[in-house]
Amino acid sequence: MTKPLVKQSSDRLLFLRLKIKDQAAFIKAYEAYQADIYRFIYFKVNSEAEAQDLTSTVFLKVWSVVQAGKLKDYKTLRSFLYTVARNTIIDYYRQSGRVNQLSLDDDADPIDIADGRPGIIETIQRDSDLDSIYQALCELKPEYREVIVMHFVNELSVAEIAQITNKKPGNIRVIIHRGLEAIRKLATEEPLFDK
Amino acid sequence: MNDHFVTQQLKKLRQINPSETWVSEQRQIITAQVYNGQEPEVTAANRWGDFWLSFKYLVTQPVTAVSAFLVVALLGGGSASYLASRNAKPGDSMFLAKKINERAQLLAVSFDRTEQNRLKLSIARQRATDMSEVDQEANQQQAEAISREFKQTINDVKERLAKDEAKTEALASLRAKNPVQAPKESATTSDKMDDTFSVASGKDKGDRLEISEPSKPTTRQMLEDAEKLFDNKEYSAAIDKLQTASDLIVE
Repeated sequence: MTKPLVKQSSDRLLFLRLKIKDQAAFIKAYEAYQADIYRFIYFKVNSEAEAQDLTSTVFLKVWSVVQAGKLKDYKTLRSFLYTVARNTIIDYYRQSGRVNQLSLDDDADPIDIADGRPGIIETIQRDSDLDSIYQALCELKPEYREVIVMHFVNELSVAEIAQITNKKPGNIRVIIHRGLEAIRKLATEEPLFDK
Repeated sequence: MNDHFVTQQLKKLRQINPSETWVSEQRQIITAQVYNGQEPEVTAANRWGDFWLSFKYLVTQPVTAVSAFLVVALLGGGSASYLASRNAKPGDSMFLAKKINERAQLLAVSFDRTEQNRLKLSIARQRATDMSEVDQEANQQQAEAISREFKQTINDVKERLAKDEAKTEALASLRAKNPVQAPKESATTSDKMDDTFSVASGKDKGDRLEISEPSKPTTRQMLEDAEKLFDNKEYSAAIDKLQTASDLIVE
């Protein structure tokens, strides 16, 4: 999954501008990546409201790192943002004492993709194939789900994911393979609950 | 359900996005934090800044540095060796570089036999000039090397011309044996030519064997003359002869 050259160079340029504490570059980075970061966090936590709060926290943390001039030389701006997002989620779970596990049949904390916006969930539910894949993804082991979301939903390269997760690219490829296999199995099984 | 299908479905999950209202509100909050409320305009200076940043990034990349070094080394090394070997003569330490340069030139015109022959004759003229400048008494070994190079070059051209001549003759004899293959549309012209040459050769009209290009034996003869002049140390005359032979090749 290779990013187009123009996208890569604009990502690189944004990153260089952030290194010199360029404010406009930060706003651009927010505009370019807020949806991806939100989606990544959304599949990690259980609600839209928390995903929104955590996304805001991520960008504020990024800005404080930029201002402090502590940007390490990451491969891409995206990998830097995801690393901050990951650490933010870890802190979130640590503070709240929650377990990083999504569950579709958890009545106390069900996945509610709609959260006042019924359009998206309805679209997903209307498409039975997409719905079964979405449910399977939510049932997936968190380690697999994280990599699958980054690679297939948010279109990060294996090298970027390896840098974000501190794993070798070979390990990431194995996780992707096993994750896909697990999704296929889960998606073809009998539904866990009636919608 | 295969992997392709699953990945296609997963890509569709990109439609999960934060609400537009939230994005817009959040942008305002972030802008307020970053700019203290006021967003500046994008100026030409910003764009130049982007260009300068990209340039600086490219320059600092190891791949760029290595590529630039290789280009400079190749171009610089090539130019330096060419300049140093420009006046080298056979027997000089830098002559090898000059020889390589000559080979490269010959290779560049390898698709054109005439141009290659002309280039070889030009090289031979250069050897004759070299010989005229060398003190043969003092530098006997160098004089021998130049002479060897000169003769080798002339022989190369002579052999090539002889081969061309043999090919032309073989073609002509093939045409004579199979007159049907000869193009009919040129019959009028051929008849006229046959009329002219058959008188001198005493052959029939159909026999085109006697029609040969007179320039090629003359060229070869001239090369032999140039060799003799070279042996007699008449280098200037040999150079003139080679120039004439070169002109004849073109004709």
